Amino acid sequence: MSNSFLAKMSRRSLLGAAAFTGAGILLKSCTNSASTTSTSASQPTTGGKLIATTLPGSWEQFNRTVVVPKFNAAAGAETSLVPLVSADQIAKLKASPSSPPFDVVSMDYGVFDGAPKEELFQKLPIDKLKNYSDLADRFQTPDTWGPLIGIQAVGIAYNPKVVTTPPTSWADLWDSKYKGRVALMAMKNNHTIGFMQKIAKMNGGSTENLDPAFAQIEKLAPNLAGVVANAGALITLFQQGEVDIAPHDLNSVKLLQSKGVDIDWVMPQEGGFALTPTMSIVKNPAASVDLAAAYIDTAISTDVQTQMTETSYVLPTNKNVSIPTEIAQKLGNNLDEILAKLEFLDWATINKNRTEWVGKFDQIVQV
Amino acid sequence: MNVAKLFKPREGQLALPLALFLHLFYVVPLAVLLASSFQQAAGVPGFTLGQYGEFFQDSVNVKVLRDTVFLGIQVTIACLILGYPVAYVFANAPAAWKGILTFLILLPLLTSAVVRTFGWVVILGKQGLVNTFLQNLGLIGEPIKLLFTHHGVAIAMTQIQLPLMILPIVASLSQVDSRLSAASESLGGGAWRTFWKIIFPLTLPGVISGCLLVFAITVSSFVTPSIIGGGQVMYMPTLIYQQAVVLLNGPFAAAVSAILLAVVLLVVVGLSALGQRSRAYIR
Repeated sequence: MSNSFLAKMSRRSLLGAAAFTGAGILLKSCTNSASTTSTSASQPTTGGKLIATTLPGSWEQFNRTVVVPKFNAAAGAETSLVPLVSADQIAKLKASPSSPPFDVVSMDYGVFDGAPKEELFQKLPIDKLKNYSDLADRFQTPDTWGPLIGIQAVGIAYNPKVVTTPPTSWADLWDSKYKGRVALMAMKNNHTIGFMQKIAKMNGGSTENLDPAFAQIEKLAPNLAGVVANAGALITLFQQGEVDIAPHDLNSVKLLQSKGVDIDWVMPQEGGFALTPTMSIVKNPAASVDLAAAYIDTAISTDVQTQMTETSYVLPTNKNVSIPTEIAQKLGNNLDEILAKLEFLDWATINKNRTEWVGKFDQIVQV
Repeated sequence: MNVAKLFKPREGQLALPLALFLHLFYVVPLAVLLASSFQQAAGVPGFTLGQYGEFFQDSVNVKVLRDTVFLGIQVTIACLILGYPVAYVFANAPAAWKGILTFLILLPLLTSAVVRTFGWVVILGKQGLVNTFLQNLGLIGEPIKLLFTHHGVAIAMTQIQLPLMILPIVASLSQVDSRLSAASESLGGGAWRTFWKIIFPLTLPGVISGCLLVFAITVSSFVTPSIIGGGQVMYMPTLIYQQAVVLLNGPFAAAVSAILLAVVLLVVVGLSALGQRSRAYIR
């Protein structure tokens, strides 16, 4: 190596060389990171960190103020909550199944059931859950992906200032006095999937056959003020007095009521249907399965479920919870009586047909 | 081998960090996306044009594509008509005013699109500002339906995209030599003629880049069309989201994305060609 070469090593070329080495190390660390996370996953963590998802809105508020503090105190853990809608949770998990971004998911069962469950989740280790036997009998299944953590009752939301006699039937949405005052969520929302199931069955259809419901939707056109993207947009419409009547769930309506919006909720005589959030442990969690199971156990405990029912108006799946009077007035005095009025949807069949139905619905409502 | 020569700076090398970044996080994912659009179903190997065939066979999808392009064109033209005068006023404003004007022009960019969109829900509603105003003036008896219509989306998008049109035009207006209009005047050209013959052609590059930005961002925007349009007027990004995330139909969503990309590219190429010609005109 000659001196002249060293002399040529200017500041710039040195910087360049340094940047090159830096990039090399960066690239190398990229390939390494996957293997380091997988080794940490195989080691059981004690106490430790847990990342759980939550549905946004009132669910997030409840999980943040009740479930997480209780669990952290009991298990000595540190829990981060990630608020995401169900479909986005599945999308994030599918993007990296071998090192998932969360340990426990909480999402709508309808979406959960349509996901590739074997690839993304693991069966619930029931023996690790102390409170599992407190679930109502119908919610206890031996070979389960996870328990239902609550029941959202869907009926008809209406503005009591305008609609002075509460509606009694789903068919009331077609009443000509509600011209331009009815809203629906788009069919990609499970609220509308359930609504269509209900309407189909009232008009001679079945779980597989929604054609009668689609025919009814065509007839709903004059009453339809709009088809909104999601539940959040529907809430805005009620707040603005833009619509007076729409299918919605009891807990969202109660939340709006508490904020001073003119809204009330009624269970139609044909009965409503249930939307059921579930919790499940992902397949390759970074936290230990014990910790993840303990988190789910907290969510179904009598204590948490009682608070959930009283503050959020989500119906419990835990049989020890007594029904508060406000819910009892609308739905019934005990869980069995209430559940008899709610249809639990056949998600396996629905998910098989979902793409076709969503396409058909969009085609009908397009303006 | 001479190491020093290898690291001798060239202009191209300065763009290397960005090039690396874009290759890793844009070109590679884009290639994966395009590849998956030729799949029969998610994870099934093989090559098929089936997803594209399916898209163009369904009249609903074709309508979505048409509406999206139409929205892009409408919003671009509206932004141009509304934005050019603002840019012109700005460029000719006294220096003291420029700070305030810059702030006003940029203000919409400082709030999130989600917030602005919900603002538009309030404004466009049947009991919203627009309808109440028109009804109180006695211009309309029944409130007009703006929310959940294509027009509603176009109105809201125009306001949201406006700064992206104004800024490039301001940039090119400020490069126009002020002596040119003085010269035109001294040669007997009126204000109107001076503008159309001198100023406007000279600002064409700015106009074209503004149009490019507005069009590309409008046809690919998601939040505003999905909230203002609701489920009744669908655009390509909403369709992509629905197929990819809600219905887990990856390959079809990829095909729709590829079609949207092709449309945007087509417009970009067309407008760039126009830009080249306008630059030739300036020289």
